[in-house]
Amino acid sequence: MKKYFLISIIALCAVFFTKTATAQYETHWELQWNISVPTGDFENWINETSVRGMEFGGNYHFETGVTLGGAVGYAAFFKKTGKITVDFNNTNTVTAIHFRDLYSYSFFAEGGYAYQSDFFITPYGRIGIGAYYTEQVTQIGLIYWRDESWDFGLRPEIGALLEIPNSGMGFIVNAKYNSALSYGNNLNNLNYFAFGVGIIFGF
Amino acid sequence: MKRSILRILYPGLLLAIMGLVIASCSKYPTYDVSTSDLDMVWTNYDDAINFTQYKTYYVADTLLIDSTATPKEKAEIQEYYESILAEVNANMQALNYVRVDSSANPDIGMGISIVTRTNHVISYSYWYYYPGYWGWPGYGYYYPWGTYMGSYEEGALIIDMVDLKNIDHYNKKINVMWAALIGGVLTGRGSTMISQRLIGGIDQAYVQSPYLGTSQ
Repeated sequence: MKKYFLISIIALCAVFFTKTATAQYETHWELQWNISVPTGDFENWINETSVRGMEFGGNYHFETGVTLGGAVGYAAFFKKTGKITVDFNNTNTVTAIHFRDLYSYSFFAEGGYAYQSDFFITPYGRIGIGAYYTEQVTQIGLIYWRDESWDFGLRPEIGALLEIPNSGMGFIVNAKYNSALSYGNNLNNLNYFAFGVGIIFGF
Repeated sequence: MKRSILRILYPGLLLAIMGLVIASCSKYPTYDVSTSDLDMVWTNYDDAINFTQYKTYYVADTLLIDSTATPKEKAEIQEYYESILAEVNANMQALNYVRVDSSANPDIGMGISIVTRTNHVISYSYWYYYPGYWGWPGYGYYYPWGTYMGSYEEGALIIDMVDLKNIDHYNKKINVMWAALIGGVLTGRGSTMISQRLIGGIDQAYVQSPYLGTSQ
């Protein structure tokens, strides 16, 4: 039974993604939904996975396989802690629930390489260089404050484009490592993984 | 067959992804916030004070109620009066401080205030204008840490512990040794729930202040 199920899945994939022409991307656009996972010191502050992430971008594919493009994105992280006691400035002590929100907006120029073949999948690797604008909101009981910052950012990314034959559309899946360098605001770093799934069009 | 499946599958995936993208644009937090989630216990103290050198304290039998409170609010606050006072006394006595009358030259004076209005800002300058201390009309509290905390909504209990052994008569200032703000505990519905939060907040203020206590 299990064997027939696997064969069926493979057969379906083969049917859906059988190419009728060799992929020759020029410019494609991407709209993605991202699941983001904080790491490092950011994880110590918000240790919850975010499903509030989206991104829009575009890439031009040269014949050599080199790609150039850009992307703008948004991710929101939220954490409600239990009641905790924290000391501030030596003599202040506050016991309360902490509400921690972080909104990350990314703006990247991207360069990379896409391996084009006769198969329906085009694997690629990219690196994004740009900036993160971050809003960090903290509420401790009834005390509230908000920090903003712009930081230089780097983002390596690997993924694959899956073309729907003869449609001008397709899908994209990828994994990215976001790193806002020299981020402050009481965190030593702002790093998080983002796993994206989305649609591509326009090639 | 292939074409008909594709006609359903691709638009379905497209719509699903578009829906996820649109939904993920929201900035509204994914957690819920109830009234009691905003309860806060804040304490601060003068770290130059040796609390073990203080033996006795006086606390007034009446609460100081923000003068702008409505009669209805005052009636509600009175409802919690006995339990607040009892809990403060229980905590002070657990630290071996002895409650005495104001005529017995107490080492510590305690002021208990309740603020019911919205959007008060807790700061050195604002606290100065809170209702005056019971035994020294015209004197003001002096907060040596000059703190700023932020804003809170309504329903705060404030406990001040002041130094009656070292009053600054020249400047008419009474040094505050320790202060606790128990914020948010008078909001919400249900007197039982509010009482539990009040009592819990008072206890927490003492728990997080391990430097309090007198030597025997």
